[in-house]
Amino acid sequence: MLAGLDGDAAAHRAVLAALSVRLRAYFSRRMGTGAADVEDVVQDALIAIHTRRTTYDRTQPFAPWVFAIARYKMIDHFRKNRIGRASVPIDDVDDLFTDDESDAATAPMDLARLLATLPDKQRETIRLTRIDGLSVTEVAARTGLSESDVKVSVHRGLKTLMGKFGGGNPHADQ
Amino acid sequence: MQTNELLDALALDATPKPRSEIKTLLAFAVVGGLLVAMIGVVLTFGLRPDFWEAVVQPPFWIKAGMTCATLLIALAITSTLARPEGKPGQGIWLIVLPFVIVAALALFELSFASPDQRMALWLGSTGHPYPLAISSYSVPVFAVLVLAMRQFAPTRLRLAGFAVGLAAGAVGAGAYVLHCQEDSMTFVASWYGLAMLIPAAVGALLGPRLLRW
Repeated sequence: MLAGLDGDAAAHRAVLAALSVRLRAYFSRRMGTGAADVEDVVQDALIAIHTRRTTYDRTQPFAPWVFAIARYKMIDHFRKNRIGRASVPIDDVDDLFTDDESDAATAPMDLARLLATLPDKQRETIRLTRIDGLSVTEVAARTGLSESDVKVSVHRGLKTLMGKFGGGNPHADQ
Repeated sequence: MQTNELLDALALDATPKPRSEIKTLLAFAVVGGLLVAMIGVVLTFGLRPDFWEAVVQPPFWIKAGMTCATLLIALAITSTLARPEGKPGQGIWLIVLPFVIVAALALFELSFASPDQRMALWLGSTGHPYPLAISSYSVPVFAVLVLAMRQFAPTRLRLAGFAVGLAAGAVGAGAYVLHCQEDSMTFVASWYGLAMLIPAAVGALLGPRLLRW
């Protein structure tokens, strides 16, 4: 970690790779949800460890710092998902009342249904960047996520969708 | 994205980090905020007319000392809480010390005053006390401190918000010392205390919202 803080990319990657294994174990033990969910939080925690590495005090033990971030991100994940589930039924009600005959109505409905399969953060960032057409900076400002977090979420979400529905490069349209 | 790809992306971004970024950033925020607040007080309320006589008297320095001590202790707590594993520990109770000392001085002062003097000692002789006006000089430094803290990784957001608010309150009250002509300890204990605790309460209230990451 110390070499990573001094800018050694290889050492930094090695630390993060080792941590991802530890974090995966830590979250799977505590979260009791699917592997995909765990992997999301692992990635969130890795991003936080990376972007906030300046808060690591080199004179202090490393593990308490790492797991304090891990714990915070896990709680954050629980909270976001609870809020997310509570808001889903309202979306569904809207979908029930759309006109099935019309393509214009079913296209957004399919889109909503597709997006609903994604975790909240990925769904929101994809909706804001790809459907509402905001820039990454605007989305970051609106959601309170960091820019890299937004980019990673969008990318991760599109990749999941592509994997489910036919493959291909998610950035082919750019 | 696969976790491996993420690791590659993050490794590419492995720029060197300075050792004491938290303390440096907080110090800059506070010094900047203090200058803004002092200029603000001088431009709006104005320097106290007897400034050069008052500056050699003890009450001036008791006021400056109370606000400075509060500021330094609140900053120490803030920089501890900026780290994710930071726990305030027993040292957090030091924060009551400036308040207790000035309150003791106030009681001492009141015990020697006649009943009809006490009201004047409490409310001051230059009109109404305005703790909210004093607190308003904390707003710029509060904003800067919150922005600084958002770069870090606090996990006890309410307590961190309280510490940030108290530090900001101490900056505002410290700047107000330049104008304040009230030299009674009773006045200082009540209204300076309140002027510092209002931003602290706001910080505790908004901390979980403002400091999330």
